[in-house]
Amino acid sequence: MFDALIDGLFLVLQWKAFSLMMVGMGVGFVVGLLPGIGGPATLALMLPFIFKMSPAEAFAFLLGMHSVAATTGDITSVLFGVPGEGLSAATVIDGHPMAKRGEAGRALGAALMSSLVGALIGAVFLALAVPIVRPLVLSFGSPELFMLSVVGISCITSLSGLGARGQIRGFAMGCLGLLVSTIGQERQSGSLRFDMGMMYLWDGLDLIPVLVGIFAIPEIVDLAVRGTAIAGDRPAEDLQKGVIEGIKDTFRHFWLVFRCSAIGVFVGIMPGAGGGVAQWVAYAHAVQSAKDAKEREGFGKGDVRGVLGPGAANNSKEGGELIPTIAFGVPGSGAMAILLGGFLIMGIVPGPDMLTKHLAITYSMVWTLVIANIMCVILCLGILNHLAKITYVRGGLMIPFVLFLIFVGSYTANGQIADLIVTFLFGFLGYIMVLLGWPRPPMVLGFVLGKLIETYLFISVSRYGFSWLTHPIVVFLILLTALVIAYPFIQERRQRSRSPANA
Amino acid sequence: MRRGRVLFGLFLIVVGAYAVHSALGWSFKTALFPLSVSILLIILTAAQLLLDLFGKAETAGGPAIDLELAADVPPDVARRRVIGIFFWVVGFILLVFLLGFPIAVPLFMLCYLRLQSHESWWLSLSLTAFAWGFFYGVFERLIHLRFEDGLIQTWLGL
Amino acid sequence: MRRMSILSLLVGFSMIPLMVSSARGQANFYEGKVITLVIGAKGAGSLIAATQITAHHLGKYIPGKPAVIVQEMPGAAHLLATNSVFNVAKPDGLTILASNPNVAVAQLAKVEQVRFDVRKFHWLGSTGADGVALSIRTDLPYKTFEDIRKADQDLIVGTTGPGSNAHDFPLLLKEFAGAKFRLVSGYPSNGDVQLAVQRKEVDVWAALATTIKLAVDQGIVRAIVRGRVASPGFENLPVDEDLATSSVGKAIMGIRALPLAIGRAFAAPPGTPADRVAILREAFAKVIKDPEFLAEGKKAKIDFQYISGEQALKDFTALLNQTPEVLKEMGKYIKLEG
Repeated sequence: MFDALIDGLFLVLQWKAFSLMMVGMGVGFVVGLLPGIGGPATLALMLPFIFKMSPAEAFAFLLGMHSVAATTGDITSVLFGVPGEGLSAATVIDGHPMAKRGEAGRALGAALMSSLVGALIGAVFLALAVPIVRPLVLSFGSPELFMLSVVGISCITSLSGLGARGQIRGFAMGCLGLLVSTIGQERQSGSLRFDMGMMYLWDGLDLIPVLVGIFAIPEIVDLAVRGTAIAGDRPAEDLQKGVIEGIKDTFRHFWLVFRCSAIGVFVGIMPGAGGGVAQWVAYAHAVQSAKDAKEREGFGKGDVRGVLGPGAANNSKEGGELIPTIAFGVPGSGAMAILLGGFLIMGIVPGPDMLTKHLAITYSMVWTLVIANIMCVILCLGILNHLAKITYVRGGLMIPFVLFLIFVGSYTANGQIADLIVTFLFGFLGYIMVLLGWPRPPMVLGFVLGKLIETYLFISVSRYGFSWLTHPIVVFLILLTALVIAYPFIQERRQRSRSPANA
Repeated sequence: MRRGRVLFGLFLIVVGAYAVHSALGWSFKTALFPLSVSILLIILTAAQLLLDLFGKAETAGGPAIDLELAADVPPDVARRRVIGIFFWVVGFILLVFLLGFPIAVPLFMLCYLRLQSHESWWLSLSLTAFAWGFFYGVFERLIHLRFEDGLIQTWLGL
Repeated sequence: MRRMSILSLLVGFSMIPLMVSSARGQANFYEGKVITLVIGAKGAGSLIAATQITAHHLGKYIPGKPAVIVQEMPGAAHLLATNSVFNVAKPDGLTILASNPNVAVAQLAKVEQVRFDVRKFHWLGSTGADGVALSIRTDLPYKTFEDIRKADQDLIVGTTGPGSNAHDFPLLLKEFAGAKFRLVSGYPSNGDVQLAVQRKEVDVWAALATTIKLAVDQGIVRAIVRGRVASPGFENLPVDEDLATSSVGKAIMGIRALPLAIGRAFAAPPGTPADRVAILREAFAKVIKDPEFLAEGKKAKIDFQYISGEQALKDFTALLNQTPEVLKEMGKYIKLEG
């Protein structure tokens, strides 16, 4: 294994592969900044270029591009409140409020550093997990995947306000998200649901227009209302210090970052779990780390931990997602599907061979992730200050640009004009929700997990009747679900029993 | 605020009811998931409505873990600005439908910068040129993305 | 007589500048332009890989050497893309549909949203047919189709939903050939079904022959039955139509097999000028012989064979020509792709 590790490194460090990685990084940087065009759409357009490359070079290029896009997506999330990639949405919730408070530098520093740490931890896991990956993935069948999605949904309790009404609203929004996810063709029988006679809805709503709409449009409205720059009317912060503060935050909360990276890797490994889930579970976990109800309320208003968690998880899941793609040919997300397409063109067959005969190539991918992320962060640190200055530009100048980003980004996800309408409708819905205090994260969670839950539940029952409820991993996951649901209430009770002692 | 909440709650119940109504016409397997979820939605929203209408004012852990809109602008100014921005957004989408992205983008930018932000001609034009250049350079040349023609172009047979 | 021949020679010669200028006119048309191959799928898959490889080399054989790119327009099992190229795309020879001929079955089944007629497309050629194969996990004792007919318990078949090869092929074998199958459908993709096979959650898996072959080579599954199109490595397998016990069953299997026989066909929208259609047809015929093209196909384990546009049109017309009884039966078993 170690020779493959070294061989892999050398494959990346060759001139051609390395320079191609840099080119990929350059493209990825621009691409990550633009919502909707992040990751999958651009990867697809880049595929033709890889024909002439050797496998190591091709993946240095594609992965360099992809890993950087994941990091820079956080930049637009923080600065404009526009998810740079569908997967940077959770960063908006706390990252953008920080920018609005004039702490853009700090938020950017935190996002970048946690992304780097997440990517490194993800890569380490990927490298170490190679021997156990096959048995691990094979032991998660449809029942286990179903329970895993249930654990994901149970995070809603942590994403909703405490107290009966907060929880009710959270779960109601979760149900709404689940309902919206059923639009389109039902997989088992092929019948259409809620398609309202429009072919556009056959495959259901696409994630990116929905996310971009529901998160970015309320921010734009808020910006228009305030009539000021994004950071308000305050004097410019000392940006250099801000970024360094953000970096320090990452290490101040290192264990949280570590745990969220672990969450990201794990969710990434699960085939079909989809990239959207990891960031929300990590976010919910970050919320759980709040020590009391008051701290908890600070989330959504600019708690740096709300940036650290998703930032780390987003990048670590890249490493995790490579595993099912390489070892089994099951792509964990849209971007991985494109990568898989690249594999086919290269004549590489995903499967056990990748973990044995072609291990060096697999490791070259791990190294690409590591090196590209490190270089990206180092390069970005230099310009972060200048990027943060954007938050001091007049709102009147920023709004048309951000609108342009929102709608072009949403359109380029699928090339459908109808997506613009979806973005607008969900934007309107998001605004109303924010106005009236109904939380958005649970709805997004329901939307992302809905199809998985239904599909795997049906397959499990179809295949095993009800005996799957006794499978060992399933039992463990049921207990985990109960724990996740109860956690906020346990925490609150412990708080209350502690405070009379303090008082 | 309370009236808004009640209206939204009713809206959710209507959505749930529509879903239930559609689902009842489907086969068992197809309907199971949407039906359970929409019934749950109706129950939860109804509970929320009842609590809002007849329960005490909201106490612990009230606000959602989510964005809070700015509160320091007088409400009537805020309302005007909200309506204004939504009109601009709808206008942009209409422009895209009618003229296609390549024309809508610079046109919108110019209009917004001049009419809404009251920026100088010089600034508006140069920013529009920059945006158009960026748009053209990245999307059309670099990535070769195809943008659909607007309706007007199709009608005129261009 | 001589005057006639001199006259005809003169006429012939005077045509040359016209021909040259029209050829140059065409070269001038495609020069500096971009041809878009629109495909109704996204992500990975042999269809996309094949289209990418085609895009890579097609431009060489078109005067003016235009760039050729692939645009993914997924939605409704290729219907969205097909509708779009038929109705919306400008018929100027710059937009080509990389079709999945299964859409013709949608037209046959009179699916509401079909807004095209496959017979009205200008079919430019196909880069080869892909067959379907049904496979079974290697550690199971069943080796031939007879074994499956006589199996003591139902074998679990994993499918991706009605309308897909993974679903319809085993379904028809179950209904019309007596296979002991229990279909569990809903897996998100073929990759997930393969994973389920490896997990022993599923016993049987059907898919495009190219896909199955990759799994066979890795020792995961063993191929048992194939569709009408003989793919390399699977020629000796029994064909499903031969195993059918009724003529209706055989006809329906045939309906299912026809689009696959047409394979990866490319079409220009109706209204495209005839000379550009001719240029494109010629380009497809030539690119399929290009050594680099074939080499990349080999690397990707895709078997490229040429099928002319005329043949494709003939097959489509035959497909749409079915008796009412067959249509009625078909409706029970063939729905649209998930």
